[in-house]
Amino acid sequence: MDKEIKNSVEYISEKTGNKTGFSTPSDYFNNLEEAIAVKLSEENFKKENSFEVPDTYFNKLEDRILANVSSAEKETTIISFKDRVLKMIPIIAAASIVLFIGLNSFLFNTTEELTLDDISEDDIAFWLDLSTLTTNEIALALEDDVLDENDFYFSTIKNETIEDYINNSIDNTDLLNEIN
Amino acid sequence: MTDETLLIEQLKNVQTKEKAFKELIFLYKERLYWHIRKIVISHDDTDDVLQNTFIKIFKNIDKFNQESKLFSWFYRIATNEAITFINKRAKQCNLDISDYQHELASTLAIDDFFTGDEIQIILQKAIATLPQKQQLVFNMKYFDEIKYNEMSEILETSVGALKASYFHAVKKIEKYIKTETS
Repeated sequence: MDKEIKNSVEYISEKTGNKTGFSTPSDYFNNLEEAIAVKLSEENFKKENSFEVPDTYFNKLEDRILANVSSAEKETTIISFKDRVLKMIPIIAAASIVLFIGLNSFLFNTTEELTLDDISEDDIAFWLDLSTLTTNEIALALEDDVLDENDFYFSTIKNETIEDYINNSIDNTDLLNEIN
Repeated sequence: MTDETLLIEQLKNVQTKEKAFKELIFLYKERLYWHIRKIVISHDDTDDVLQNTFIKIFKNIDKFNQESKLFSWFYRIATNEAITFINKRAKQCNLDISDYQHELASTLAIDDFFTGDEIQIILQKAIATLPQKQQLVFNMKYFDEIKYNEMSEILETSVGALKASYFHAVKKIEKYIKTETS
């Protein structure tokens, strides 16, 4: 048996070179005493925890976390792709109309320009029937576009000019008739 | 008083214990490292097991029975720590111990701390196929050249049984290498 073992060992040794192939990091053995001393010190530390928690803290923890999770979910709004597309439709439609008008005006230019003469009296009468204008609306339009308050400011007109106007343009008889 | 007896006395004395312990690590660290490494394979795991081994020695030195050699006692602790470690790892991985060891040997090619070539990987794979006791006996006899009577003390097994284990181990490894290299 001994001879048989010897032959087998020689074969293995010849093949493998009697090596394991294992190696270590450089300086591993030089630092080992220190590493073990540190670990030994750690072993001596008390592993008791000095911190405390309220009595029922861990019992209620799951519920509290779940409550926070569910409220966080409610606050979160998810904008779906469908919603986005639906929101885009009016914008796209408006853009298409503008484009269509623009193309008509600048490229095709097929529409004739309308003037006031093109509007018939019947059309105006029909419009007046439909839209009743208030005095305020008229005042507002006149205020901005037609009249200026300076138009009624007479201080710059001389008294002689006023007298001449009265003497020349108003018939005294008419004036007396008005007074009576 | 021999060096070993003196070291034991110093280890049991509170005042000299720490200094003697450093001396002990210095004397045995490499031998124990390589013994553990051949069982657990990875360097990082070996480092963990080695440190735990020395800490166990430090804590239990008072229980050391001077009838056995200090070195044998260290080896026994290291062997037990290493085997407990790999069994635990295999269990964590849900693997049979031999499958786990074969997997370990297969990862050697990408291990940063393995400088061997293909034939050394084959040898480790061959060792992984052996029953645990045969692995220990082969590694201790073939690589560490520990005598049977010392091994008997470490593994608490008779010399005859150890010789038989070594014979079976060598024959199986020879066959495995022949198959893999033919």
